[in-house]
Amino acid sequence: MFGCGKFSEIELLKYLEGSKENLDVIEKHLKECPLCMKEITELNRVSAIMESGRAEPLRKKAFVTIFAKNQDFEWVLPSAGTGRIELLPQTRTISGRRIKKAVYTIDEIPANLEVVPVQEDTFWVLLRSPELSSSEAILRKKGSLKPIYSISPEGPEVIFKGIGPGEYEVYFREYVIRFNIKVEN
Amino acid sequence: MELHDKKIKTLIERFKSGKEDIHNILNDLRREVELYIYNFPRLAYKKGPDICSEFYLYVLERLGSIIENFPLNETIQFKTWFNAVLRNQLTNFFYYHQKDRKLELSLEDYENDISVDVFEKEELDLKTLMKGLSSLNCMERLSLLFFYMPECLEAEDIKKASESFKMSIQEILAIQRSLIVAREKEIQRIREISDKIGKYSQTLARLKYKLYKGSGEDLKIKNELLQKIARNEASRARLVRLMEAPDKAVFREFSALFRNALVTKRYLKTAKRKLRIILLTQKKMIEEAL
Repeated sequence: MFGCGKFSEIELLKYLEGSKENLDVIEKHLKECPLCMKEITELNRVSAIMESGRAEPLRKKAFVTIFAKNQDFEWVLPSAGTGRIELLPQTRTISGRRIKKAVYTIDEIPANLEVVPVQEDTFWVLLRSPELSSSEAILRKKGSLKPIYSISPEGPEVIFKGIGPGEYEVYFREYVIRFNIKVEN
Repeated sequence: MELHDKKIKTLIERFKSGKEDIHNILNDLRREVELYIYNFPRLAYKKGPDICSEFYLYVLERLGSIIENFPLNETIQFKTWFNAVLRNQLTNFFYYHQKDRKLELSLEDYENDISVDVFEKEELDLKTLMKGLSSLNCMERLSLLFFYMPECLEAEDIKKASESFKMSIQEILAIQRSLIVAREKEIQRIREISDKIGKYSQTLARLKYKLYKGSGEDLKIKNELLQKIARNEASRARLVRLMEAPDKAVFREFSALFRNALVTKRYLKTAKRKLRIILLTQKKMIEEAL
Protein backbone atom coordinates (compact mmCIF):
# COMPACT_ATOMS: atom_id res chain seq x y z
CA MET A 1 0.00 0.00 0.00
CA PHE A 2 1.24 3.44 -0.88
CA GLY A 3 0.38 6.24 1.58
CA CYS A 4 -3.24 6.13 2.72
CA GLY A 5 -4.16 3.67 -0.04
CA LYS A 6 -6.60 5.87 -1.94
CA PHE A 7 -4.44 5.61 -5.05
CA SER A 8 -2.49 2.58 -6.13
CA GLU A 9 1.30 2.64 -5.98
CA ILE A 10 1.50 2.55 -9.77
CA GLU A 11 -0.83 5.57 -10.13
CA LEU A 12 1.31 7.64 -7.80
CA LEU A 13 4.59 6.48 -9.34
CA LYS A 14 3.27 7.47 -12.76
CA TYR A 15 2.35 10.87 -11.30
CA LEU A 16 5.89 11.20 -10.01
CA GLU A 17 7.23 10.48 -13.48
CA GLY A 18 5.15 13.38 -14.82
CA SER A 19 2.02 11.60 -16.06
CA LYS A 20 -1.03 13.86 -16.50
CA GLU A 21 -3.45 11.00 -15.83
CA ASN A 22 -5.82 11.96 -12.96
CA LEU A 23 -3.54 14.93 -12.30
CA ASP A 24 -6.12 17.22 -10.67
CA VAL A 25 -7.56 14.47 -8.48
CA ILE A 26 -4.12 13.37 -7.26
CA GLU A 27 -2.95 16.95 -6.66
CA LYS A 28 -6.11 17.67 -4.64
CA HIS A 29 -5.62 14.51 -2.63
CA LEU A 30 -1.94 15.23 -1.95
CA LYS A 31 -2.83 18.65 -0.56
CA GLU A 32 -5.22 17.00 1.88
CA CYS A 33 -3.38 13.77 2.76
CA PRO A 34 -0.12 14.19 4.72
CA LEU A 35 0.59 10.44 4.49
CA CYS A 36 0.62 10.30 0.69
CA MET A 37 2.44 13.64 0.50
CA LYS A 38 5.16 12.37 2.81
CA GLU A 39 5.58 9.15 0.81
CA ILE A 40 5.73 10.90 -2.54
CA THR A 41 8.22 13.52 -1.31
CA GLU A 42 10.44 10.82 0.13
CA LEU A 43 10.33 8.76 -3.04
CA ASN A 44 11.09 11.84 -5.10
CA ARG A 45 14.18 12.50 -3.00
CA VAL A 46 15.31 8.86 -3.22
CA SER A 47 14.81 8.79 -7.02
CA ALA A 48 16.88 11.95 -7.48
CA ILE A 49 19.67 10.77 -5.21
CA MET A 50 19.83 7.35 -6.85
CA GLU A 51 19.92 8.98 -10.26
CA SER A 52 22.80 11.29 -9.42
CA GLY A 53 24.73 9.12 -6.95
CA ARG A 54 27.95 7.40 -7.86
CA ALA A 55 28.08 3.63 -7.47
CA GLU A 56 30.66 1.98 -5.28
CA PRO A 57 31.89 -1.41 -6.47
CA LEU A 58 30.28 -4.46 -5.02
CA ARG A 59 32.75 -6.61 -3.15
CA LYS A 60 32.54 -10.34 -3.63
CA LYS A 61 31.43 -11.66 -0.34
CA ALA A 62 31.46 -15.00 1.46
CA PHE A 63 30.05 -15.88 4.85
CA VAL A 64 30.73 -18.61 7.30
CA THR A 65 29.44 -19.32 10.78
CA ILE A 66 31.50 -21.53 13.00
CA PHE A 67 30.05 -23.02 16.15
CA ALA A 68 32.45 -24.09 18.85
CA LYS A 69 31.30 -26.09 21.85
CA ASN A 70 33.73 -27.00 24.62
CA GLN A 71 36.56 -25.88 22.34
CA ASP A 72 35.49 -28.31 19.64
CA PHE A 73 33.98 -27.17 16.39
CA GLU A 74 30.66 -28.73 15.79
CA TRP A 75 29.24 -27.24 12.62
CA VAL A 76 30.45 -25.04 9.84
CA LEU A 77 27.68 -23.36 7.97
CA PRO A 78 29.12 -21.67 4.90
CA SER A 79 27.56 -19.69 2.09
CA ALA A 80 29.20 -19.73 -1.34
CA GLY A 81 31.59 -22.49 -0.40
CA THR A 82 32.17 -25.66 1.54
CA GLY A 83 33.18 -26.18 5.14
CA ARG A 84 34.64 -29.10 6.96
CA ILE A 85 36.07 -29.97 10.36
CA GLU A 86 39.55 -31.47 10.53
CA LEU A 87 41.38 -33.02 13.43
CA LEU A 88 44.82 -31.60 14.10
CA PRO A 89 47.70 -34.06 14.81
CA GLN A 90 47.60 -35.98 18.09
CA THR A 91 50.43 -33.87 19.52
CA ARG A 92 48.32 -30.72 19.74
CA THR A 93 45.78 -30.63 22.54
CA ILE A 94 43.88 -28.21 24.74
CA SER A 95 43.16 -29.55 28.24
CA GLY A 96 44.18 -33.01 27.02
CA ARG A 97 41.70 -33.00 24.11
CA ARG A 98 42.70 -33.14 20.48
CA ILE A 99 42.10 -29.92 18.61
CA LYS A 100 39.76 -29.65 15.68
CA LYS A 101 40.03 -26.88 13.13
CA ALA A 102 37.36 -25.46 10.88
CA VAL A 103 38.29 -25.16 7.21
CA TYR A 104 36.27 -23.02 4.85
CA THR A 105 36.95 -23.23 1.11
CA ILE A 106 35.17 -20.53 -0.84
CA ASP A 107 33.77 -21.04 -4.34
CA GLU A 108 33.84 -17.61 -5.94
CA ILE A 109 36.88 -16.32 -4.10
CA PRO A 110 40.19 -18.10 -4.52
CA ALA A 111 40.65 -18.45 -0.79
CA ASN A 112 40.67 -20.83 2.11
CA LEU A 113 40.00 -19.81 5.70
CA GLU A 114 40.98 -21.88 8.71
CA VAL A 115 39.95 -21.25 12.29
CA VAL A 116 42.01 -23.00 14.93
CA PRO A 117 41.36 -22.82 18.69
CA VAL A 118 44.55 -22.16 20.69
CA GLN A 119 43.13 -21.53 24.14
CA GLU A 120 39.73 -21.26 25.69
CA ASP A 121 37.79 -18.74 23.59
CA THR A 122 40.89 -17.72 21.66
CA PHE A 123 41.51 -18.62 18.04
CA TRP A 124 44.00 -18.22 15.25
CA VAL A 125 42.54 -17.40 11.88
CA LEU A 126 44.59 -18.39 8.88
CA LEU A 127 43.78 -17.10 5.43
CA ARG A 128 45.32 -18.60 2.29
CA SER A 129 44.91 -17.10 -1.14
CA PRO A 130 47.18 -16.58 -4.16
CA GLU A 131 45.73 -13.05 -4.33
CA LEU A 132 47.18 -12.18 -0.93
CA SER A 133 50.78 -11.70 -2.05
CA SER A 134 49.87 -8.54 -3.95
CA SER A 135 47.38 -7.12 -1.50
CA GLU A 136 46.82 -5.86 2.00
CA ALA A 137 44.68 -8.03 4.29
CA ILE A 138 42.51 -6.14 6.77
CA LEU A 139 40.67 -7.79 9.62
CA ARG A 140 37.98 -5.85 11.42
CA LYS A 141 35.22 -6.68 13.82
CA LYS A 142 31.78 -6.30 12.29
CA GLY A 143 30.28 -2.90 12.98
CA SER A 144 33.63 -1.30 13.77
CA LEU A 145 35.44 0.91 11.32
CA LYS A 146 38.86 0.41 12.92
CA PRO A 147 40.86 -2.59 11.74
CA ILE A 148 42.24 -5.08 14.25
CA TYR A 149 44.93 -6.19 11.82
CA SER A 150 46.22 -4.63 8.66
CA ILE A 151 48.89 -6.82 7.13
CA SER A 152 50.66 -6.82 3.76
CA PRO A 153 51.82 -10.45 3.57
CA GLU A 154 54.80 -11.39 1.46
CA GLY A 155 53.36 -14.80 0.59
CA PRO A 156 49.92 -16.22 -0.09
CA GLU A 157 49.15 -16.68 3.59
CA VAL A 158 48.31 -14.53 6.58
CA ILE A 159 47.62 -15.41 10.24
CA PHE A 160 45.49 -13.33 12.59
CA LYS A 161 46.26 -14.31 16.16
CA GLY A 162 44.37 -13.88 19.41
CA ILE A 163 40.91 -13.71 17.91
CA GLY A 164 37.98 -14.04 20.28
CA PRO A 165 34.42 -15.11 19.51
CA GLY A 166 32.32 -12.72 17.44
CA GLU A 167 31.68 -11.56 13.91
CA TYR A 168 34.63 -10.47 11.79
CA GLU A 169 35.38 -9.43 8.23
CA VAL A 170 38.58 -9.94 6.27
CA TYR A 171 39.10 -7.59 3.33
CA PHE A 172 41.63 -8.22 0.60
CA ARG A 173 41.58 -6.95 -2.97
CA GLU A 174 37.92 -6.80 -4.00
CA TYR A 175 36.91 -9.59 -1.64
CA VAL A 176 35.34 -9.75 1.77
CA ILE A 177 35.04 -12.86 3.89
CA ARG A 178 32.82 -12.63 6.90
CA PHE A 179 33.10 -15.21 9.61
CA ASN A 180 31.26 -15.58 12.82
CA ILE A 181 32.74 -17.61 15.66
CA LYS A 182 30.01 -18.63 18.07
CA VAL A 183 31.10 -20.23 21.30
CA GLU A 184 28.96 -22.26 23.66
CA ASN A 185 30.48 -23.58 26.85
CA MET B 1 23.35 5.50 -11.36
CA GLU B 2 21.71 4.13 -14.44
CA LEU B 3 19.52 1.09 -14.95
CA HIS B 4 18.96 -0.21 -18.48
CA ASP B 5 15.19 0.07 -18.62
CA LYS B 6 14.63 -1.74 -21.93
CA LYS B 7 17.07 -4.56 -21.20
CA ILE B 8 15.64 -5.17 -17.73
CA LYS B 9 12.05 -5.15 -18.98
CA THR B 10 12.95 -7.70 -21.69
CA LEU B 11 14.54 -9.94 -19.06
CA ILE B 12 11.48 -9.63 -16.81
CA GLU B 13 9.25 -10.53 -19.74
CA ARG B 14 11.33 -13.65 -20.40
CA PHE B 15 11.36 -14.47 -16.70
CA LYS B 16 7.58 -14.19 -16.44
CA SER B 17 6.92 -16.20 -19.59
CA GLY B 18 8.47 -19.24 -17.89
CA LYS B 19 9.64 -20.66 -21.23
CA GLU B 20 13.37 -20.38 -20.55
CA ASP B 21 15.70 -21.39 -17.78
CA ILE B 22 14.65 -19.12 -14.91
CA HIS B 23 17.97 -19.50 -13.13
CA ASN B 24 19.91 -18.03 -16.08
CA ILE B 25 17.53 -15.11 -16.53
CA LEU B 26 17.60 -14.35 -12.83
CA ASN B 27 21.38 -14.32 -12.98
CA ASP B 28 21.31 -11.83 -15.86
CA LEU B 29 18.84 -9.70 -13.93
CA ARG B 30 21.02 -9.83 -10.86
CA ARG B 31 23.96 -8.53 -12.87
CA GLU B 32 21.85 -5.60 -14.11
CA VAL B 33 20.58 -4.50 -10.70
CA GLU B 34 23.19 -5.67 -8.16
CA LEU B 35 25.14 -2.41 -7.91
CA TYR B 36 21.91 -0.47 -7.63
CA ILE B 37 20.71 -2.67 -4.75
CA TYR B 38 24.07 -2.64 -2.98
CA ASN B 39 24.39 1.14 -3.15
CA PHE B 40 20.75 1.90 -2.27
CA PRO B 41 21.11 2.10 1.56
CA ARG B 42 24.34 4.12 1.24
CA LEU B 43 23.08 6.68 -1.27
CA ALA B 44 19.47 7.03 -0.21
CA TYR B 45 19.89 6.72 3.57
CA LYS B 46 23.63 7.19 4.21
CA LYS B 47 24.08 3.73 5.69
CA GLY B 48 27.46 2.07 6.09
CA PRO B 49 29.06 -0.87 4.21
CA ASP B 50 27.79 -3.52 6.66
CA ILE B 51 24.17 -2.62 6.06
CA CYS B 52 24.77 -2.32 2.31
CA SER B 53 26.13 -5.88 2.08
CA GLU B 54 23.47 -7.37 4.32
CA PHE B 55 20.70 -5.58 2.49
CA TYR B 56 22.13 -6.71 -0.84
CA LEU B 57 21.95 -10.37 0.27
CA TYR B 58 18.50 -9.85 1.75
CA VAL B 59 17.12 -8.52 -1.55
CA LEU B 60 18.99 -11.07 -3.63
CA GLU B 61 17.22 -13.90 -1.83
CA ARG B 62 13.91 -12.32 -2.78
CA LEU B 63 14.77 -11.06 -6.25
CA GLY B 64 12.63 -13.65 -8.04
CA SER B 65 9.46 -12.80 -6.16
CA ILE B 66 10.19 -9.05 -6.35
CA ILE B 67 10.61 -9.13 -10.12
CA GLU B 68 7.46 -11.23 -10.46
CA ASN B 69 5.44 -8.23 -9.24
CA PHE B 70 6.70 -5.72 -11.81
CA PRO B 71 3.70 -4.50 -13.86
CA LEU B 72 4.93 -5.00 -17.43
CA ASN B 73 1.69 -3.68 -18.93
CA GLU B 74 2.12 -0.24 -17.29
CA THR B 75 4.03 2.65 -18.84
CA ILE B 76 6.33 3.13 -15.93
CA GLN B 77 10.12 3.16 -15.77
CA PHE B 78 11.67 0.20 -14.00
CA LYS B 79 13.86 2.37 -11.77
CA THR B 80 10.91 4.44 -10.46
CA TRP B 81 9.15 1.25 -9.45
CA PHE B 82 12.34 -0.34 -8.16
CA ASN B 83 13.10 2.65 -5.89
CA ALA B 84 9.71 2.22 -4.23
CA VAL B 85 10.30 -1.53 -3.88
CA LEU B 86 13.79 -1.11 -2.43
CA ARG B 87 12.53 1.43 0.04
CA ASN B 88 9.88 -1.01 1.27
CA GLN B 89 12.44 -3.82 1.34
CA LEU B 90 14.79 -1.68 3.42
CA THR B 91 12.01 -1.00 5.93
CA ASN B 92 11.29 -4.75 6.12
CA PHE B 93 14.99 -5.50 6.38
CA PHE B 94 15.34 -3.25 9.42
CA TYR B 95 12.21 -4.65 10.96
CA TYR B 96 13.14 -8.32 10.65
CA HIS B 97 16.92 -8.22 10.89
CA GLN B 98 17.79 -5.27 13.03
CA LYS B 99 15.09 -5.13 15.66
CA ASP B 100 17.26 -3.01 17.91
CA ARG B 101 17.34 -0.28 15.30
CA LYS B 102 14.74 2.33 14.58
CA LEU B 103 12.05 1.06 12.26
CA GLU B 104 11.55 4.31 10.43
CA LEU B 105 14.11 5.04 7.76
CA SER B 106 15.90 8.15 8.74
CA LEU B 107 18.93 10.01 7.52
CA GLU B 108 19.69 10.83 11.14
CA ASP B 109 20.95 7.27 11.65
CA TYR B 110 24.06 8.44 9.87
CA GLU B 111 24.94 10.53 12.90
CA ASN B 112 25.63 7.34 14.83
CA ASP B 113 28.49 6.58 12.45
CA ILE B 114 30.21 9.89 13.08
CA SER B 115 32.48 10.32 16.06
CA VAL B 116 30.86 12.12 18.97
CA ASP B 117 32.89 15.33 18.87
CA VAL B 118 32.22 15.90 15.16
CA PHE B 119 28.57 15.05 15.54
CA GLU B 120 28.03 17.42 18.44
CA LYS B 121 29.57 20.26 16.51
CA GLU B 122 27.62 19.45 13.35
CA GLU B 123 24.38 19.22 15.28
CA LEU B 124 24.95 22.63 16.80
CA ASP B 125 25.68 24.18 13.42
CA LEU B 126 22.64 22.63 11.77
CA LYS B 127 20.43 23.70 14.68
CA THR B 128 21.67 27.28 14.40
CA LEU B 129 21.15 27.25 10.66
CA MET B 130 17.64 25.81 10.93
CA LYS B 131 16.76 28.34 13.63
CA GLY B 132 18.04 31.12 11.39
CA LEU B 133 16.07 29.78 8.43
CA SER B 134 12.88 29.62 10.46
CA SER B 135 13.21 33.35 11.19
CA LEU B 136 12.94 34.17 7.47
CA ASN B 137 9.63 34.57 5.67
CA CYS B 138 8.23 31.52 3.86
CA MET B 139 9.42 32.40 0.33
CA GLU B 140 12.92 33.31 1.50
CA ARG B 141 13.26 30.18 3.60
CA LEU B 142 12.02 27.97 0.75
CA SER B 143 14.33 29.70 -1.75
CA LEU B 144 17.39 28.95 0.36
CA LEU B 145 16.30 25.39 1.05
CA PHE B 146 15.64 24.72 -2.65
CA PHE B 147 18.95 26.23 -3.71
CA TYR B 148 21.29 24.90 -1.04
CA MET B 149 19.61 21.84 0.51
CA PRO B 150 17.00 20.48 -1.93
CA GLU B 151 17.29 16.98 -0.43
CA CYS B 152 16.21 18.35 2.98
CA LEU B 153 12.84 19.62 1.74
CA GLU B 154 9.97 17.95 3.54
CA ALA B 155 6.41 17.21 2.46
CA GLU B 156 5.11 20.38 4.14
CA ASP B 157 7.78 22.49 2.38
CA ILE B 158 6.75 21.06 -1.01
CA LYS B 159 3.10 21.90 -0.30
CA LYS B 160 3.99 25.44 0.79
CA ALA B 161 6.24 25.87 -2.24
CA SER B 162 3.37 24.83 -4.50
CA GLU B 163 1.23 27.61 -2.95
CA SER B 164 3.97 30.24 -2.77
CA PHE B 165 5.40 29.74 -6.27
CA LYS B 166 1.93 29.08 -7.76
CA MET B 167 2.91 25.78 -9.33
CA SER B 168 1.50 22.28 -9.13
CA ILE B 169 3.00 19.83 -6.62
CA GLN B 170 4.14 17.72 -9.56
CA GLU B 171 6.10 20.66 -11.00
CA ILE B 172 7.65 21.49 -7.63
CA LEU B 173 8.71 17.86 -7.16
CA ALA B 174 10.29 17.84 -10.63
CA ILE B 175 12.26 21.01 -9.78
CA GLN B 176 13.40 19.49 -6.48
CA ARG B 177 14.57 16.38 -8.36
CA SER B 178 16.53 18.40 -10.92
CA LEU B 179 18.09 20.47 -8.16
CA ILE B 180 19.23 17.39 -6.21
CA VAL B 181 20.78 15.95 -9.38
CA ALA B 182 22.46 19.25 -10.28
CA ARG B 183 23.81 19.72 -6.73
CA GLU B 184 25.23 16.20 -6.66
CA LYS B 185 26.92 16.70 -10.03
CA GLU B 186 28.36 19.97 -8.74
CA ILE B 187 29.73 18.24 -5.64
CA GLN B 188 31.31 15.54 -7.81
CA ARG B 189 32.82 18.23 -10.08
CA ILE B 190 34.31 20.05 -7.08
CA ARG B 191 35.70 16.76 -5.70
CA GLU B 192 37.39 15.95 -9.00
CA ILE B 193 38.90 19.45 -9.23
CA SER B 194 40.07 19.25 -5.59
CA ASP B 195 41.80 15.94 -6.34
CA LYS B 196 43.60 17.50 -9.28
CA ILE B 197 44.59 20.54 -7.18
CA GLY B 198 45.95 18.17 -4.55
CA LYS B 199 48.08 16.39 -7.15
CA TYR B 200 49.44 19.69 -8.47
CA SER B 201 50.29 20.75 -4.90
CA GLN B 202 52.20 17.50 -4.35
CA THR B 203 54.15 17.95 -7.58
CA LEU B 204 54.90 21.57 -6.66
CA ALA B 205 56.16 20.61 -3.21
CA ARG B 206 58.44 17.98 -4.79
CA LEU B 207 59.78 20.42 -7.40
CA LYS B 208 60.37 23.17 -4.85
CA TYR B 209 62.21 20.77 -2.57
CA LYS B 210 64.35 19.66 -5.52
CA LEU B 211 65.16 23.29 -6.32
CA TYR B 212 66.05 24.01 -2.69
CA LYS B 213 68.24 20.91 -2.28
CA GLY B 214 70.05 21.28 -5.57
CA SER B 215 71.11 24.89 -4.93
CA GLY B 216 74.65 24.10 -6.00
CA GLU B 217 73.70 22.81 -9.45
CA ASP B 218 74.07 24.74 -12.66
CA LEU B 219 71.75 27.50 -13.74
CA LYS B 220 70.28 25.58 -16.67
CA ILE B 221 68.79 22.86 -14.40
CA LYS B 222 67.52 25.49 -11.96
CA ASN B 223 65.92 27.36 -14.81
CA GLU B 224 64.14 24.26 -16.04
CA LEU B 225 62.87 23.56 -12.53
CA LEU B 226 61.61 27.12 -12.17
CA GLN B 227 59.80 26.86 -15.48
CA LYS B 228 58.16 23.63 -14.40
CA ILE B 229 57.10 25.22 -11.09
CA ALA B 230 55.61 28.20 -12.93
CA ARG B 231 53.67 25.96 -15.31
CA ASN B 232 52.31 23.83 -12.47
CA GLU B 233 51.36 26.88 -10.42
CA ALA B 234 49.51 28.37 -13.39
CA SER B 235 47.59 25.12 -13.91
CA ARG B 236 46.73 24.94 -10.22
CA ALA B 237 45.54 28.55 -10.18
CA ARG B 238 43.33 27.84 -13.23
CA LEU B 239 41.75 24.91 -11.38
CA VAL B 240 41.18 27.01 -8.26
CA ARG B 241 39.38 29.62 -10.39
CA LEU B 242 37.30 26.83 -11.95
CA MET B 243 36.36 25.51 -8.54
CA GLU B 244 35.32 28.94 -7.30
CA ALA B 245 33.27 29.72 -10.40
CA PRO B 246 29.52 30.09 -9.73
CA ASP B 247 27.48 26.97 -10.18
CA LYS B 248 25.43 27.66 -13.32
CA ALA B 249 23.59 24.32 -13.56
CA VAL B 250 22.07 24.56 -10.07
CA PHE B 251 21.09 28.19 -10.67
CA ARG B 252 19.45 27.31 -14.00
CA GLU B 253 17.31 24.61 -12.37
CA PHE B 254 16.54 26.87 -9.43
CA SER B 255 15.39 29.76 -11.62
CA ALA B 256 12.49 27.58 -12.86
CA LEU B 257 10.75 28.57 -9.61
CA PHE B 258 10.77 32.26 -10.56
CA ARG B 259 9.70 34.45 -13.47
CA ASN B 260 13.21 35.08 -14.79
CA ALA B 261 16.88 34.88 -13.89
CA LEU B 262 17.00 38.48 -12.64
CA VAL B 263 14.19 37.96 -10.14
CA THR B 264 15.82 34.67 -9.07
CA LYS B 265 19.15 36.36 -8.42
CA ARG B 266 17.54 39.20 -6.47
CA TYR B 267 15.49 36.83 -4.34
CA LEU B 268 18.43 34.59 -3.55
CA LYS B 269 20.69 37.53 -2.71
CA THR B 270 18.14 39.12 -0.37
CA ALA B 271 17.39 35.82 1.39
CA LYS B 272 21.10 35.09 1.85
CA ARG B 273 21.78 38.56 3.24
CA LYS B 274 18.87 38.32 5.67
CA LEU B 275 19.98 34.89 6.87
CA ARG B 276 23.54 36.13 7.39
CA ILE B 277 22.27 39.04 9.52
CA ILE B 278 20.07 36.69 11.57
CA LEU B 279 22.94 34.26 12.14
CA LEU B 280 25.32 37.04 13.13
CA THR B 281 22.74 38.50 15.53
CA GLN B 282 22.23 35.05 17.09
CA LYS B 283 25.98 34.58 17.45
CA LYS B 284 26.37 38.01 19.03
CA MET B 285 23.53 37.30 21.46
CA ILE B 286 25.15 34.01 22.49
CA GLU B 287 28.53 35.71 22.98
CA GLU B 288 26.97 38.47 25.07
CA ALA B 289 25.12 35.92 27.17
CA LEU B 290 28.40 34.12 27.83
